[in-house]
Amino acid sequence: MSRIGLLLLAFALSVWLRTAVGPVQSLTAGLVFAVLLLGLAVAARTRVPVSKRAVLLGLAGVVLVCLPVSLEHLLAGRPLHASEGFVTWALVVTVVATAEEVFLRGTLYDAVESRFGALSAILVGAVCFALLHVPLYGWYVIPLDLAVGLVLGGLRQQSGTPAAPAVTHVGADLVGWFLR
Amino acid sequence: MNGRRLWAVGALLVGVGWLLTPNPVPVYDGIGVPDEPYRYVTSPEGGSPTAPPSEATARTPVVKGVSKDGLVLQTKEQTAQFSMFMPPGAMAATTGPITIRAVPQDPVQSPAGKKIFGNAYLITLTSPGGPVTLTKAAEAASLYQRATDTSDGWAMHFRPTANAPWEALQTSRGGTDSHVADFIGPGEYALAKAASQASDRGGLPVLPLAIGIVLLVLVVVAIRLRSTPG
Repeated sequence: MSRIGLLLLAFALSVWLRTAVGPVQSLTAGLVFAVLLLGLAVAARTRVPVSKRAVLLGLAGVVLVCLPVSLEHLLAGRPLHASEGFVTWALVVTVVATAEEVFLRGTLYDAVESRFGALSAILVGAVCFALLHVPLYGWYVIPLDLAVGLVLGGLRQQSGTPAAPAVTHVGADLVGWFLR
Repeated sequence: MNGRRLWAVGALLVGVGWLLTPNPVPVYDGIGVPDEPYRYVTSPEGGSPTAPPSEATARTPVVKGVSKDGLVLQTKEQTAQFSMFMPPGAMAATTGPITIRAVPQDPVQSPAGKKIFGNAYLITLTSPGGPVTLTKAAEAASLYQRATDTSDGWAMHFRPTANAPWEALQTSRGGTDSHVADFIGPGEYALAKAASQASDRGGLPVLPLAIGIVLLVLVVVAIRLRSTPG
């Protein structure tokens, strides 16, 4: 099996194991998933260089990804979600989001890009990103998560490191808490 | 493509994705906020004491003899142990406001052949103008209760007074550990199940998990070997 095939198989197994260890939205399931993805990234010797430019690009990505939902929230006059329970949740979400980006926009991206080019790497990562969220929310998340996955892939391509999409992903998740 | 165009394309993609997705949140990794332990009025034998369960109150003015507002009643636990939805016009009284209150009770008596493992909740409807009655609109009222575990077999039970027998209500699952039934009227509501079904969550699916982990280890080893130069 090719390296890309192995990575996709490992990714599918990790998603399945997340659903098998308990309620899929539990902290434990999320952490198990993160550990599996980080283990794969380490096995594949994925590098995650961090630069000031990557962080700034990532922060700009947060604004982009959160803009429509924030505007809708603001215009509807809805209150922000309460902060009770935020800290524990935020710590776990940060680990999970970072792990997803290190694997999808690091390990998998590098493998696909070296064989089929950057556009294919962005597309494959976006499809995997959208599919991985289906067990959590259902099929209706596909349009938004596919779009966000393409943006995260674009950030990876522009910055040259998974650090930029990781900043965007973590930031958007944290903002997402308050916009629920 | 230059930087500005890329950002514009990104904004367009996210905008379209957002429009096509019902109730979207930006990315969000599906980590739910864990429930706090169930709060008992009186902890089960051998169990450690819990924080006291909260009660819930809501009020609505009366216009033309019926309740003006729709009401949402929710206790303050994470996740709420009791919540209730009452549509506008569901209650009638000569004068307002109508107050609806849910108070957790120690369930001193369980339905025949079943056991109430959590609290019962006493629902009262009061107004300064005397008794409050339900209208046809109240048929759409529903209430949720959180069970003490995620197992199956829970059914909502109702009794109008403390001396009346419990009556099982048509119950459906409203979440991982919450159950929903129609609101019948003021009185006590509690979740019960067969006394022998003392719970709980069922173990992890060990064999599938073990197979999955072994496969994953093999994949990691294969990736590692392929990453090794030479």
